[in-house]
Amino acid sequence: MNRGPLFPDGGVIESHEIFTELKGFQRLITQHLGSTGDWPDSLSEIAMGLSSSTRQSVDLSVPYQLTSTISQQTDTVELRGQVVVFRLDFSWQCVPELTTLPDALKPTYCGGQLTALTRSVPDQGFFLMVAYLALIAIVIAVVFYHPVLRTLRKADFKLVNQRLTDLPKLARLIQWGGLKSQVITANELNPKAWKKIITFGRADERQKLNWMCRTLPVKQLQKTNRSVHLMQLDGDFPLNVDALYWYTASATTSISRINNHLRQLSEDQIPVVIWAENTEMNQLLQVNHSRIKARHLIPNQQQMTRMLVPNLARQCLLDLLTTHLPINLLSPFQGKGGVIKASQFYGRDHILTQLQNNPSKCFLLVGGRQLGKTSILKAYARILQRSPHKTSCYISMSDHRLLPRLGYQLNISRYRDLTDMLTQYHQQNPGRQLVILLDETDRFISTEAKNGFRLMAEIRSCAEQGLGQMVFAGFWDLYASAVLDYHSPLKNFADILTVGALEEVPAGKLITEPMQLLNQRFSDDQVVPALLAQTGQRANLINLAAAYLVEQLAQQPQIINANLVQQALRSQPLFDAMQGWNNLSSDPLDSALDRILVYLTFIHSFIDVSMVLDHLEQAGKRVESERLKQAFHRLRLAHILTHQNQQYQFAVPLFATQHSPAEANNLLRQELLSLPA
Amino acid sequence: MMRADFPDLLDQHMRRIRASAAAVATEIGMSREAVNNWRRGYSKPSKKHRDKVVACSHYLRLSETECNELLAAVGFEDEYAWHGQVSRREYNHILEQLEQARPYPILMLLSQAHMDQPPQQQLIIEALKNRYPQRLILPVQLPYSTNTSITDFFTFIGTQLKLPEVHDELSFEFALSDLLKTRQITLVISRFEQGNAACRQQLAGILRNLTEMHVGQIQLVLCGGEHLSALKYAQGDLSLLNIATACLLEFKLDHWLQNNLPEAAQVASQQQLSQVLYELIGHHPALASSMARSMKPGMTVAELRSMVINSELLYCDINQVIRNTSPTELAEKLNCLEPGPYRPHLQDPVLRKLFWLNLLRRGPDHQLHWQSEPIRQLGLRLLTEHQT
Repeated sequence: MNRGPLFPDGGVIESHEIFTELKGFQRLITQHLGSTGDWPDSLSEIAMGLSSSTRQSVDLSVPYQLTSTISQQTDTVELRGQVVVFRLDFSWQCVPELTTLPDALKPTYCGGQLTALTRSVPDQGFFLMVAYLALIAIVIAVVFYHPVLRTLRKADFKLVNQRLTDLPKLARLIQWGGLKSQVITANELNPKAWKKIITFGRADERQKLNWMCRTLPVKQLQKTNRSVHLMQLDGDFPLNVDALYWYTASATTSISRINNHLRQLSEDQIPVVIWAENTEMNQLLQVNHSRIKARHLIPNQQQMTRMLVPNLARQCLLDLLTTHLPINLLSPFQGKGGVIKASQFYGRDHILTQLQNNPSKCFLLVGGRQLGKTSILKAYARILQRSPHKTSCYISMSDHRLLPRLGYQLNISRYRDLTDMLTQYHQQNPGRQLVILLDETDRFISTEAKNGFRLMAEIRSCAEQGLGQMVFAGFWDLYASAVLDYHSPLKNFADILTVGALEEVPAGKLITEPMQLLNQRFSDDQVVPALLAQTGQRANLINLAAAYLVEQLAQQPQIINANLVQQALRSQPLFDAMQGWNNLSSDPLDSALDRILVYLTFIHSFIDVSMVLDHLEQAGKRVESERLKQAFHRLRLAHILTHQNQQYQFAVPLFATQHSPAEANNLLRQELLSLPA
Repeated sequence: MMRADFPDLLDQHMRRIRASAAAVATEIGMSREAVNNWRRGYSKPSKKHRDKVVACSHYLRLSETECNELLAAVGFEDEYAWHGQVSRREYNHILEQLEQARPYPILMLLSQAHMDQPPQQQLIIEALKNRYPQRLILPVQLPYSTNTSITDFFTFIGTQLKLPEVHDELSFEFALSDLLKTRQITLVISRFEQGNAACRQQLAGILRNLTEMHVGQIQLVLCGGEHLSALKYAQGDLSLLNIATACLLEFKLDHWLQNNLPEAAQVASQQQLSQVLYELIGHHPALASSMARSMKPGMTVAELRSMVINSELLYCDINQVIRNTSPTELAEKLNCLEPGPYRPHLQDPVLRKLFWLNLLRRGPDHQLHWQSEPIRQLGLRLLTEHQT
């Protein structure tokens, strides 16, 4: 197609101007004819002052014919004096025979060659302008009406449902739409994190793993073999999973090859995250996941994106675990021993506040077995760990030897006495406050009592000198020494904090929050309060019951109802946990008296001092009233009996299920027989 | 009939650990002359001294098989039933319990008397090694002697564990603690029953300390019976092993017979034999093992019954209870077919003793049952003889 030169010469332009002018005259004449019906004699008849132009003179003497003679003053020599004739039939038509213009300057509709030129110059500009406007309109339409961009523009746009493979495209749209800072803010990211996420696909494996370690709760990463890494999870991860294997599946890895790789792993109970970025591979793995032998989690495209976003990654991992693995493998309920995870520690705020707010005071944490003393010590140790100026030293004491154990923990082997050891410690660690947490201190205290509390007096002196805060945890010997022995230096040495049942609200949360994490529901609002009442809000019993529930739910998914809770309350682990009350004191006579009181409670449900004395009298036994008082006190401290309305009853109603009254009667008879008269 | 090689076997085992006749005599409560007479073949242990031979095998650190061989050399019944091939599934179940006991993996494998502890101990150690290749699996057997001092006790264990510079309980605790700072270990302690009670308690305390202080680094598998159970359930003044997970290993006659069918029973169907044996001995492991070994073709039920009521093992066990219990209380139990409900820790000391001696067993209804009617009748007869 002849589109003509882009820059025409002067003759062409002048010819174009003449013909444009003629078109203007023609429009005027047509209008005149339309309004008057008469052919004008001259242009001046149509408009005053309009007879000709500087370029041409117009002759209208022949009706319906416009004859133009081009002026001699035009710049183009070839145009001077030339004639152009138009006739009006239905429309204006050029008369080529009468038009004397040279072909090069005559428009094609007039038999010449100038069509392209005379029409193309204005047409191309127009076209470009229209195209440009159209483009702008499309861009505007895209920007305002494209569904993705409309979503992106929303202030609360989250990356949560975006596919990993779509992220680069999405990032470009966000960039073009000028939405970067808005998206970064909405997803609680920073520019660096944003860059890491959108360039994740292009990163190498090491960079990818490093980023995953920052988004997931990972405390340590180590390479297990060529294709697998081991991720040690944070101690605070709320499910019972300490580590994950990380396996990256390439687009071409077969399932049997994956199985071969995973078979070499040393610990088959650790779940494996199979990371498949390739869409087809990911779909293949999702469909054939049952063919993978190891415990595995396969995040889909959206989940992979979530795992890259710091504030979404943890929840995504929790969701993956609870949907891919049986819940009994994840159960966070810990019914035995001191709780080591902050996520599983509930309540005891009052005690912890006391410990934290009085760093120069020493404390005695007293309570029965499995009531949570160790958990409190460990929770306090975790709090201290966060402080740059404090160090805690936890020692579990199976016997009386404190100094060698403390020396070993503080790495001080030569010392004269406790004061010397602690002074050395402070010289080596200036500005650090030492908190010594001593667990299971009953034997230590009873040995100290026999030795005239020599070391305790030194401990007291050290505490007063500010050499360290000391917290002792124990049960009866500690309590008796601090409260009942008038001469004990413990009496004014430390504050006593009694550890009993868990507070009601935290006790409820202890079961409901982890169950929520595991996606489990209760049938009604009464189920949890009933469980708390039956267990006397003892944390270990609640945990054991919950652990049993999780085992049952793993076998048969259902809503937790009152029947299931009753099953849990009568399960072997709870029964097991309620044992161990028969030797609460190191004195055999005291323990025997404790057992007699407990058996009487099994038989009568409610007991009081006079009832006990009557039974003893009938059996021909005499017990000093002080000893009896202490036995009641001991059983209350152990959270076995509780005192209400002048009577004693079981603090944990469930406790009553251990023995029938008849069985308890036999045991009571035997116990009374063995009691000295 | 006494086998000729009893003196040789005894001599061989004594030489192996360089035990003197005087030391053996002190440990088992016999005179030095009596032990020397056994060793030289001048006399043999009588029926009432069967438990002394068992004690002797413990002191000489014999394995369950060696103990049975020593008893067989005198003509006595087995002390332990060989449990048969333990299936992978059973191991998995045991190891799963250990794994689920997080964060304090302490597993108590409890078994009543006359079962090897645990079944095929070496196999469970192998299973642990296979399952946890990165862990250091350390098997320990406690010293038998009740006269061992605490220092000797911990030095003995320290040597078994190859811990450096262990000379008492504190150096043992610190050496094990040092090891735990660098390695994850699984400690398998068998025969927790035997030895000095104070030493056992001290060890339990140290293990509890280390478990609390090195979370995730240590796994404990403790094998024992009554005394081990007491550390979890009975001794409330110090919560030593109350955080342990207890697992009672029970002997099942049917299961055992599947792998240990006596030759003499080939003609009879296993079901018939199982029924006859069950009525005579219940689920008693050592009696099952002895009877399977002594059974001859064509033996009648009366003859089998006679084997049970003349069993020197039962004689020793029942007499042990009679010696330490009031006759009225024991008679009361013996006169009940179901003497009481089963509990993880039986409060009644008589029932507890009978249970751990494997004269009583846990029924499917969670009631205690006598192993069999002939055993209960034997108990009544021996009690009457004792009273007269």
